[in-house]
Amino acid sequence: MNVAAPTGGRDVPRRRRWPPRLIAGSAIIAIGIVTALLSLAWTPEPPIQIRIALRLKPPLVAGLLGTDALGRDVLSLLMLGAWNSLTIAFSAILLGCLFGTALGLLAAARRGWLDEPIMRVGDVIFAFPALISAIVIGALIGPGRLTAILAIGIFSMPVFARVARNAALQIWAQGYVLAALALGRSRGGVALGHVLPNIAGTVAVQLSIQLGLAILVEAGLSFLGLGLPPPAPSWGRMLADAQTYFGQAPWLALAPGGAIAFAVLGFTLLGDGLRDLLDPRSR
Amino acid sequence: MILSPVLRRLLVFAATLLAASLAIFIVMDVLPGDPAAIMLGTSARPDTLAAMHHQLGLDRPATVRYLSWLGGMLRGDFGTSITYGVPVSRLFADRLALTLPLALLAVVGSTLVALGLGMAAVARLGRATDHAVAVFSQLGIAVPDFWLGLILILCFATGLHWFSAIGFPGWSGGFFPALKALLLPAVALAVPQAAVLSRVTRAALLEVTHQDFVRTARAKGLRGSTIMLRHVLPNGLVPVLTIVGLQFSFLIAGAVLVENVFALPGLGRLVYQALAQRDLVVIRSVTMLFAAFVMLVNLAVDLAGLLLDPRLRAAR
Repeated sequence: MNVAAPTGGRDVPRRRRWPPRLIAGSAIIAIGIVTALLSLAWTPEPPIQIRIALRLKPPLVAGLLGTDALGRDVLSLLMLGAWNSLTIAFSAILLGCLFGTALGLLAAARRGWLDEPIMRVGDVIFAFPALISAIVIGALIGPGRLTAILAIGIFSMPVFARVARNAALQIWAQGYVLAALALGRSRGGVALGHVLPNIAGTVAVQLSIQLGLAILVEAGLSFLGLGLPPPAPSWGRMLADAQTYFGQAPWLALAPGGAIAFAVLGFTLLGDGLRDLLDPRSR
Repeated sequence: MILSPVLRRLLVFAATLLAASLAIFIVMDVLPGDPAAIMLGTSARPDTLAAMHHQLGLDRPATVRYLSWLGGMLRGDFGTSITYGVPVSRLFADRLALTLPLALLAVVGSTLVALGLGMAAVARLGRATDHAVAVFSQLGIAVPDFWLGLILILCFATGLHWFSAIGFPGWSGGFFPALKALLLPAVALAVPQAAVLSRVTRAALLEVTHQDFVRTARAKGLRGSTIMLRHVLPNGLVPVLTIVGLQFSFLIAGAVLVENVFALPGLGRLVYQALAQRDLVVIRSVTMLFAAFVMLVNLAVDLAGLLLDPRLRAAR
């Protein structure tokens, strides 16, 4: 191992603190989840109520963030949009994480005849961006929640497979794994008992980062009309609607984009924070 | 079996391409669901449906259809668009004239910016510049490219009137007006990419600065900038280029969105309109083209890595 040049006392061991990015990320996501759950019980106005008399009102004139072209309260739409956005992202990434990690674990445990095909299929899937898959799936079964979840989930699968495999391969080379094998444990038992717990952190980091990406992709899908069909509010479609009324109500384009960026920031911060926690030397 | 690294990569590329075409074909032509019925809608009369079946060649066995689609693509024949009534290859040629320069601008721009930011961050490690780069990349990753496009239109087109908000004058109207129309969309695409890449660059270069040869270069008394450009950058370039390749599939997706924001008649808009018109012939071929692009870029990155780093040539 190389010794880094002295950097002036920064390497003095300190009491372990929570990485700041972990705290910031967790706080943002907590706000998002609370907002999403709250939206099911309460929003300032009924989010899908059409009030033509109040259409295109600027922020604070009607509601905190103004109203859209149908007079719906933007803040209420944003809140319910958080629920839709988060549930789609969580379902899709859970799907991708479960299958991807299982395949990566399998590839690392079995090597040889299974490893290469699993990773090559992953390469093929990775050549189809989620948005493009969604266009294909949407052409067949129409747009909607399932289309978005499938497209995002399938695309994230090879990412988890690769991350899990590479991390697992390192664990398989460890002495304690060899010892467990020598004691007569089956490869499957070692994979679940020793390898999986040790790669869980790495997978969790990826999980958080992929959740952020999923929010972005979901927003893109609904921007193109491939996400939830109206009247269910979604951040992406609010932006698409905002573009139509750009001249009259430019503020409509600000809040939904801000909400998307805020949510993605939360997940990427959480992912980075988790990485800082697991490997304090990475930064 | 000993193959040269280049030949081995070319073979893997060809096999992956073939697998991708098979995947698209199975999803769109073989899975339950009648493409003719999807295109015509549920109210189609049986005889129009039969005619459409014949026009699409759906009355032939699946293997024959797959092979003729594959053979056609190899000859540059991507079928005929149902809505436009023209060969898909002609649509491609028209639309590529926009999407290709747009993607190129974004890739080159974001890579150069990221290399610059990454070098600046490593040179000023732990100081204000480093933190500023970190903040830029953290925020840039979170901002959706199509929203950034909207904001840019809001600021520079409807606000300052420096650019026309949407549309594309075409290359026939002169090089610079066309380039100008691509500038804002390219920035919208490039910023999130640059954010991702600048982190990767910082990490890759930082890794290199811990190597012995960098210490030796410092001990020799070389200037910091010389060490960075001659020793650190070349050694850190390969991982950065690999991520440029992996990011390309996100760039393609971004192009679909950004082209729609700026109403640019590119491939992304073509596939979006084809979806609205249920033109499965176009969707199938554009999807294949996108996948081929992504794979081609990754192949190019792989080969560039071999060219740049002699150590990779020796491996395997």
